[in-house]
Amino acid sequence: MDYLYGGTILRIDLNEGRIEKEPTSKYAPAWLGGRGFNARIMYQELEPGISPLSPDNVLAFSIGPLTGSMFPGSGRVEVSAKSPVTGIQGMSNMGGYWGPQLKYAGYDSIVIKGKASKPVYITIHNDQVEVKDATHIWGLDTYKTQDKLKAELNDPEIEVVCIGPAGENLAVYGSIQTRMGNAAGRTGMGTVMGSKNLKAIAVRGTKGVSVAQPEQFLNICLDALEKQKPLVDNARTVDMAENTPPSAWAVVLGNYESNVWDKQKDMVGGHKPFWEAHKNRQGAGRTGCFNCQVRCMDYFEENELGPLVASCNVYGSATWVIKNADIKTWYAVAAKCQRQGIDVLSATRMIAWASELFEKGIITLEDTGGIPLEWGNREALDQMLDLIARNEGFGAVLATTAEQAAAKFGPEIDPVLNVKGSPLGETNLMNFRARAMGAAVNPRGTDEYRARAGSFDNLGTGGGTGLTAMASPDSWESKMAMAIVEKAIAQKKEKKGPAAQITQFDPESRGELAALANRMICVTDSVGQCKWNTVFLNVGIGIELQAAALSAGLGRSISVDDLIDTASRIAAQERAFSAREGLTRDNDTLPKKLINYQMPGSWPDDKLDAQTLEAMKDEYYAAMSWDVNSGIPTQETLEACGLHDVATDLDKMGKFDR
Amino acid sequence: MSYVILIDAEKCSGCQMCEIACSLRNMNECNPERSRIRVVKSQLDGQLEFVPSTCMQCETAMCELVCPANAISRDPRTGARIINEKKCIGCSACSYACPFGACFVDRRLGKSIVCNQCDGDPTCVKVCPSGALSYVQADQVNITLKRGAAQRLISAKEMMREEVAVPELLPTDRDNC
Repeated sequence: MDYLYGGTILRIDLNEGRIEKEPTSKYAPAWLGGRGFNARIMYQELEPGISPLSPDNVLAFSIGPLTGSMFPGSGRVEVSAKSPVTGIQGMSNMGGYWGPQLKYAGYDSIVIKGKASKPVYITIHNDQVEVKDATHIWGLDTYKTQDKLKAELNDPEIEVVCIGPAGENLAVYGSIQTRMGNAAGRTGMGTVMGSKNLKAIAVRGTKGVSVAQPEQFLNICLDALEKQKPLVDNARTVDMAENTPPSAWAVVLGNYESNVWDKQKDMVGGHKPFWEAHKNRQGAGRTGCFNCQVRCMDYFEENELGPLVASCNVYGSATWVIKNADIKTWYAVAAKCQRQGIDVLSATRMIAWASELFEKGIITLEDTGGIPLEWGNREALDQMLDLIARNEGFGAVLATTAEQAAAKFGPEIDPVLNVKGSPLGETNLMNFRARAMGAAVNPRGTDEYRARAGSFDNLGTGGGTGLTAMASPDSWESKMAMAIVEKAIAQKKEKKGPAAQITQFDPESRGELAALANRMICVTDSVGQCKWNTVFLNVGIGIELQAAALSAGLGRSISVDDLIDTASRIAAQERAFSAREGLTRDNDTLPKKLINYQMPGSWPDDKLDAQTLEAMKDEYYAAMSWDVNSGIPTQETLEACGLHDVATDLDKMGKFDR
Repeated sequence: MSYVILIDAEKCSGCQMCEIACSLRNMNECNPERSRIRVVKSQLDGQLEFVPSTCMQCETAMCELVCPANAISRDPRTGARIINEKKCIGCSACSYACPFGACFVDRRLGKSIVCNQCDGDPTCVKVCPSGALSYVQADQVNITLKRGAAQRLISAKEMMREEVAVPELLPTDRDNC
């Protein structure tokens, strides 16, 4: 019996309904699991240049060796395919309870190719795998789909991932939804499912996760839980509305219109009193994912709008971004997006883009089919989201890519604020250099989450809030990061005198810190743990504990260095995928509007110029051992990672030419 | 002295930490199917209910009475039911007799297993993040449950007191004194 891993990669070709299995040893241990497996699979099996909606797109769901085990917060799944939103590798990470069931059924990945001739769903019960007709559930919302399948398959323990109408109708940012509000929302992975006529995947497993040293593993997990307990509230953001302007770390108004909002006083504590009034009795209104004590989500029940489980990021997107101060409207938007299978962050950003153009008269009522796209207009939002889900009318404009949507209104119209094509979320990228850095180099575009650790943002400044200072100073991550910052401060003092310091606005050390964060996050995303459980966001669990758990679980020694080396390999593989699609350092950038931009209400230091961004990127590529001119991994780095085939490919394509 | 694992189902947020911790501690494997405490889930159109369920430590235990192998007894320290593995024949008579489905034949072991309170330090209680599980002396269940229910009334009255403003003396009143 395998330790930690399920042992089998499940491969399904929907063209012929063919089901095959191969051993996980093909990818483990070199690729660790989760995001690592996906990086390799995408590179090896996705032909460059194919269309994301073509049957040739490859969709992979991968879990990590720790998924389903007692290691805290280890219920995560990493989903990947070519993204219909960005045209490059799409990546989305999902919580909930589905990942553990996949592990218990004995699998580490599901790799899906082709397209079914009519709607289907996949059912997995341990060794038994079937592709079944889904015609009778096509069109159902994501809550009803899950209920229906559990009833039909006569087992309430089944976990389901599914798409809603948005994915079915090929709105580009269709999400994959699962139980309790969890989703793989970003980069349109649900749309890829829809393009394959795949409605859902239902899983049930009973084999459990074996560990080599059970007592040791148990003690490591209990110790990790103890360390984490005092920090769990760092991951909850119910109080976001209470930040007084200028917003210390949180969100921006509309399309980076301002850092301040006159309606903010209506919303101060807006979420909290609503939560108090409507928190569901079950769990005292607080819930979360498999085996996680953080429980970062709120469980509401509002009389008119029904039940809803919502997590932090949804909040800013359906309030500040669309300039809506009404809490009930926020609720309605969140609930609708979940049921329809729409990524709420992408949809609200697209709506904000269109609302600004509507305000300027560039988009008219004729364009919108008579729907007034006024900021925060609840009825308009409701109708727009329905149209997006149906990919109809003006919804079809909002449900397409950033480039295509802008092109409809003329060549001088700027597309939605985006990174590499994926609409920006709610977080302010300008008031921490670390955020701008992370967003510029995140392999999937979209946001700063894959190349930035919140706990590093204010290191060395002596300041910071609970999220942006370091809560675990004894951790490996903290020591590594402090060493980087201290070196940078010393260098700055040499140049600029003894009073020199590094604040959250300064670019020095950002590149190296982003490289460290990138590697840390690769590890977390590959072992199956939630980033919201780790030092990344000051929630306590670090790479040393991950290594210890893997060692006790697998029965052989895994060191922090082993994990970091693996992360370098995964990061290089992902970067090579992008390079093969034609991307270089020129694509690591921020929206034009945000360069040299002093947003009203922001601190003077928020403004970022192009030269500073380029300097941070230089530092990042060097720290990743990638070529500084191209931003592409060097031949030496690829060879050192064991990626000889990748080195050969890129060499043939002339990617190493100086 | 007898102890029980007291369950406040309403507090449960369905995380299943209890299941994973129990199975690892007692069966050396992370597997809800081999856990002696289970969370019964209900989800309908987004409405969630969770009810943790385990051995209720009956005073007159049907499992003990029906066992054809006389394999079930009580731990004198904690009052927890103990199933003698050597005697157990894995017949499931106890499972059928139990009003809660607490004991069950673990198919890999071939024997019935039931919550043993982890020798007086229950792991599920240790890890539960929501306070849904607590370890109490059996004779304290009475007041503990009553306090839990009464807390709603106590909290409501506190909230009501906070909303009623305390009238302030207006400057004019003082001037007129």
